[in-house]
Amino acid sequence: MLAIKNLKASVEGSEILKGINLEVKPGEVHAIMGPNGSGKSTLASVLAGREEYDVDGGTVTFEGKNLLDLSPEDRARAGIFLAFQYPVEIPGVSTTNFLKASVNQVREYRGLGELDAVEFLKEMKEKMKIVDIDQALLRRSLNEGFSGGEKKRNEIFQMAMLEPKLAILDETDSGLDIDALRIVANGVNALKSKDNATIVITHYQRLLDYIVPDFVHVLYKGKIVKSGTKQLAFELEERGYDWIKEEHPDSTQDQIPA
Amino acid sequence: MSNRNSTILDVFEEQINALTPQLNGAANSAGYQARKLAFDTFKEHGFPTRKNEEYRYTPLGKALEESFADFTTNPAIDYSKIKEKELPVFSGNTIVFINGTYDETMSQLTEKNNLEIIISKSQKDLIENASLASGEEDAFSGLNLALATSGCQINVEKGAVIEESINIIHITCAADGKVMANCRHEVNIGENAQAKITEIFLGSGDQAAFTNSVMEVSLAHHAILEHYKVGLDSDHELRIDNTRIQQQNNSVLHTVNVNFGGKMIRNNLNITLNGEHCETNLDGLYMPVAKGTIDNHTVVDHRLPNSNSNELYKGIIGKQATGVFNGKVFVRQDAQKTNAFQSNNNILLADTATINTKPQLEIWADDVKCTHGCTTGQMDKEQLFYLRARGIDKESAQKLLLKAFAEEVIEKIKDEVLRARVAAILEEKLDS
Repeated sequence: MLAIKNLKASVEGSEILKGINLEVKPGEVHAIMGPNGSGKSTLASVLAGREEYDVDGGTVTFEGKNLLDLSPEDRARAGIFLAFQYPVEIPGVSTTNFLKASVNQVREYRGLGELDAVEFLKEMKEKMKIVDIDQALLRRSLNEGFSGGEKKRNEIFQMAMLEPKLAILDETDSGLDIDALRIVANGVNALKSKDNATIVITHYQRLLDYIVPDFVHVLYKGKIVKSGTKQLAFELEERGYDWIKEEHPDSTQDQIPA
Repeated sequence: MSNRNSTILDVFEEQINALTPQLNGAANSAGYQARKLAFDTFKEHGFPTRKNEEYRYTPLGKALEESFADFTTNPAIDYSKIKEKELPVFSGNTIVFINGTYDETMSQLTEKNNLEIIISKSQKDLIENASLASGEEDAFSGLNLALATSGCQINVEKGAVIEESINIIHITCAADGKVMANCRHEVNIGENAQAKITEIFLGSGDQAAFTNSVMEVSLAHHAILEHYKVGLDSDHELRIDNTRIQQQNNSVLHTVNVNFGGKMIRNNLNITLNGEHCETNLDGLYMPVAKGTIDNHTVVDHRLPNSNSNELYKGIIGKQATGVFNGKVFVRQDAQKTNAFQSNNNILLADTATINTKPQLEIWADDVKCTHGCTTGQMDKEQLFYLRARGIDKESAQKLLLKAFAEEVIEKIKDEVLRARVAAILEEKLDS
């Protein structure tokens, strides 16, 4: 489904990703862990097509297409979904308001017919249950005055509506209390199938108690330095990241921005 | 005067001279004297130039000199060229002026016993209806006083509630020649009375047009007025609007001014709070396009205690267009316990777009709450990326964000029909 080969990327001239290799197959859940500043969020941003990042080398193939050639909107339509670490506030635009355009543009790309207002509402009501989100919230200006939990639930709700093939959850657990974390994780699990895949980016192991990964990768200084099963996540939880750093002192000394 | 060497001043002088014989009998009136004095003052000072701080970004005098030095008279009205379909259909009293002249065929006046609408069809009428009495400081207002030949006076009786909007439609149709229009209106809302007034400025034709309009508004104790202005000007329109509003104790004003396009549009809105416990809401949206300029100068003058004013002006400035916002708020020494809020936000759509914004708060009282804020920027890249990452194409995402930005002002229009109409116009403008 997704094949990343020797991906290098920089922002404003400083190199952040220094040769990432990763393969994700349908039905799999991959966790990407790593200390702050290792390049986790950069990887998510590059995959989603954020324009501030320059790709300096390598390839990313998604379902046979060269992902790096596609605009952010075409990536979304092709089935990539990024759950933002910091979902942006948009005054005057409600979730309901933009999601109809969003769902229909995605459907059109996939050769499906447009949903009319009634069908859209029906679809919304169904998906709202998955993350236990209130319709009133969806009618408010996007993320304006939302709690951390509400923001992240809204992200997963949108994911449910757009039915992506590959969901990338960028530190979806950050700032969530245990109840909100459970709701969000249950939502993600409910959407899992043998045909779609998930990349979970996180600093801590806790989220992985709820979204159980098939593979765990450790990203450090722009490279995947270790891969394993969920056991690796437990090990990281117990021992922290210092032993990883000690094992890989060879990387350059420069500080990598988050 | 088709003399190529004539100046804009000659053009106006010619108009004045042509009007004077029609004033038979009124020549000794105060109105006639005011008119004469206004023009003499104008002649002495001329148009404000770029050196004049108030007109720095809006050199209307220069633009007039360029386009109107060869002006003679307005062309005959060709109704087939008026873009009637662009006009909202109004059900209430509708007063139509075409090229500065009251138009009986398009107007519709329904009598109401608590509402008086007096139409002036000539300068003599204006003088007799005492609408030309006040002195003028602004050069364009003075010019209007000297040259206005039509207008309306709307008097809402004490205690009356006029639910249907009273509409004043200014049409300039410059298809068959250049057009100059000077109208002068007066609105008096009686004690504890309520009314809605909607003014539309509609321009068509590809020749130059100049509209100079003045409106004097007075709100008596406990009066409530909703006042809307919508500018749908042609790309060749030079227009200046002088609106002066006086508020007495406990009166409430909602005024929204929305402007799309035009070559050079200047709005002077002066609100004087001569009472206590007044509420003043003034909001505006300006979307200059092409190489056009839209300039909003507002003044809110708090003279007595315990009043609130809220101002929100927003601009979306097209590629080579210019927006201007100058908002003065005065809080006089006696105006203790004033709450005055002002906010001006702008989005520039290109590096070549210009905004000149200047909030000016002058406060002499010491127990007041006043804030002002101003933001200017490009479209928010984070917001744009977020929407694109949800599958929405760039153009639609931009439109969605601009619409949301502008709608904050449009939502201040309480009249549902007008609000829907303006929202639809916004949508059209964002598509082009």
